[in-house]
Amino acid sequence: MNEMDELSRFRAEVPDRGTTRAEEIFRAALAKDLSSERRSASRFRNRFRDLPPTWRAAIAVPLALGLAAGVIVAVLPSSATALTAELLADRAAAAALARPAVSAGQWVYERSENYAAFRSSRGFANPTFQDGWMTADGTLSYGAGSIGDPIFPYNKIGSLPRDPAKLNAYFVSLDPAKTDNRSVVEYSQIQSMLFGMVLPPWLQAEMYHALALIPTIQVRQNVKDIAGRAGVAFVLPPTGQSEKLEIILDASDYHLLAQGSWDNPSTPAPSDEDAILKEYLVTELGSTQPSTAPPSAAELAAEQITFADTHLREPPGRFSPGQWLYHHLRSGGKDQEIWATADDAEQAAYVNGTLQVCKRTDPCAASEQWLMPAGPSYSLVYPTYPLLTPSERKQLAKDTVKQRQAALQKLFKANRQVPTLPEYPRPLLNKLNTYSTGCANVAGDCNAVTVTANMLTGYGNRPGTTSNWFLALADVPGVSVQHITDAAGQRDIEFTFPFQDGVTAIMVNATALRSGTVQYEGYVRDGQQTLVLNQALVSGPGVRP
Amino acid sequence: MTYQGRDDADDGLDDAAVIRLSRHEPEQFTVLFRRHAPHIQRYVTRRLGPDAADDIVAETFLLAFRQRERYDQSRADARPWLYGIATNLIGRHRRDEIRLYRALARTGADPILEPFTDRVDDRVSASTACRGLAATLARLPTASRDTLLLVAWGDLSYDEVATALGVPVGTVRSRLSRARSKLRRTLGETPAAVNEESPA
Repeated sequence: MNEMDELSRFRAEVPDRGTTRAEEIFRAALAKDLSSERRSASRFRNRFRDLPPTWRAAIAVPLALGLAAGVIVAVLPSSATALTAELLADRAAAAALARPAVSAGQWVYERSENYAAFRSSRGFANPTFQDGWMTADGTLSYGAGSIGDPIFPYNKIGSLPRDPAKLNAYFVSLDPAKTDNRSVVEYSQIQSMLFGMVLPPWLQAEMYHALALIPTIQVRQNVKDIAGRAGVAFVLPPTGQSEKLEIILDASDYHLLAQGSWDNPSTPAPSDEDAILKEYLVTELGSTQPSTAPPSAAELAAEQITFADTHLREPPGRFSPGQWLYHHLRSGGKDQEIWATADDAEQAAYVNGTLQVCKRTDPCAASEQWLMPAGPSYSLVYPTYPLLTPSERKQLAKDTVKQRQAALQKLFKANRQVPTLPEYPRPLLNKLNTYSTGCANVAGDCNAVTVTANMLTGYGNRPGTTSNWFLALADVPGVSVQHITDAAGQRDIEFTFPFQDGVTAIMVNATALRSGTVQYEGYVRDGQQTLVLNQALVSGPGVRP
Repeated sequence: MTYQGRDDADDGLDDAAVIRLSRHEPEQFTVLFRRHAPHIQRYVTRRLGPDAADDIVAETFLLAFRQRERYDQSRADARPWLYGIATNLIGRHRRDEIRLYRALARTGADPILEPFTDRVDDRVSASTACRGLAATLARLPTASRDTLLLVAWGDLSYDEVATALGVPVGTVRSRLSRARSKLRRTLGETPAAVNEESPA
């Protein structure tokens, strides 16, 4: 027995006590970390990796274009000069200084796009688009709630050193780990503040200069971001502590376009990229209209619904297609209890005290009132994505890194090919219009509206998906929004459509929405309300919640 | 391929992919905890005892979580990274660790094993070999002790130890060879103990 064997046996009798206590401590600390992450604007956060919300010096893009143009001309060099990081920093800084500062209480709207190469493996849409609102002083509030803890305290911005080298040194001094590569620390801090906060022009300018001071920084020209816009980028080459990272600026006016990162530094395009598609001042939270033109009431309501939907602290779990749901409906003063599977392929009801169960494929189907009489199949609305089998997983663990990547790529590709509903309002309405519901005003989206009511009533739904539907409803020509009290005495927000037949209104609980939850209440058809009094997951047909 | 709903990242993704996923879905980081915490817990327990181990393991994963943005994505296996963090944290308790080795070397009773046993005779059963090992471990420079124990208790390869400690592989080799020769000398001084420990 040699000394290493001896050492291996030393204290080998330490029993496995389990990691329960360590896990408790870890989870508690993690929850604390996460709640502060969430508080600082959850919806943007998860898109920007570890970085906080994608807010930075926020100016209407057209405004920036106009104002910056004059200054940029002054710093444009004669044609053939190679673009160094320093030169790019000069131009970006000049452009930043030409933009007006945003005052503290002003709301900024941003729409951004994310593409993540790994994401499709788990069934996410790719790319994803998100909207967000933030004030220039970093307080993001909706209703009564206020949100804190940006990546850097706004009240300390004024006292930051007004010298790029000192700024970098200061950022390095903030790094708690102290073990990281200086360049990585400086770059990460600048990137997260540029993309995550609304900064005064002088600080943006200084940050571009500070980027150019990072010894390893490079410039990449003739870049296109995921939205196809021409750009020029600051690139940080990969190190042991960080993947290859880049910040893309617009090639003509040097405003921020996107940030990207590479899993594999030799591929031409980043594996994960976030692009800012739109960014401008708006009059209020929830509005997407530039501050000159107020949004429609329907757009505001739909945005409010989307906002609440994506901020659900504990989103309900997914329904699998065959799970039974209990529906308590009220229509024309008559109550109805219906059990249906989440995909409405099977229904049940008590007829004269006897539970009758009927499948769509059964002979009884013709006489059944299906909750989903017309519309896309459940699998199109909620596609199931291919995953690895246990044996494939086992194989993957044995594979080399290369084989593993190839296997995962194959899986990603398969996932991309799974059909699903369009995400954007107009394409979604067009798709839903292809299902005939027998209504007359086909050109005015009457089919899409009726199908949306069908899906809301008849399927086991998930937030995020349904909020896309409300954004689409807000785009139906002639839609209006009003506050009503429904037949069950609930205060509702009602989307009203200018049709004579089919579904002419769709209701959402106004009280719940004000407190941040989305609760679908029902629809109006032929002048009559159908209200969803209760919808709940149950263990089987005939079982009440 | 099967078609099923699944919310967990623990479906054949390597550590790098799980960490990448956790940047968007922080909760997925717990997958990493479940994968590696038991081994790291054992490693820390052998160095500092069960109570300190709970705290250090939790802190290791919390620090790792906070640094997940900077994880080197070319490394499919996160063990070296996690062991590196845990080892740094153990460094804060260097005096305690040395005190524990010395106590064992002096008395023959291992304070680390004490909480795990009720029987008095077990406590005093440490072999002469163990006492020698403990005395040597107490005398080793911290960097050598870290290197040695990452190999012996963490089951890391030389490359992985280099990654964990952020030093070149050559440094790992030279530290290890110096530490091993010190151990050999200790054991050489107590041949009887070696026989006693290995009846085969």
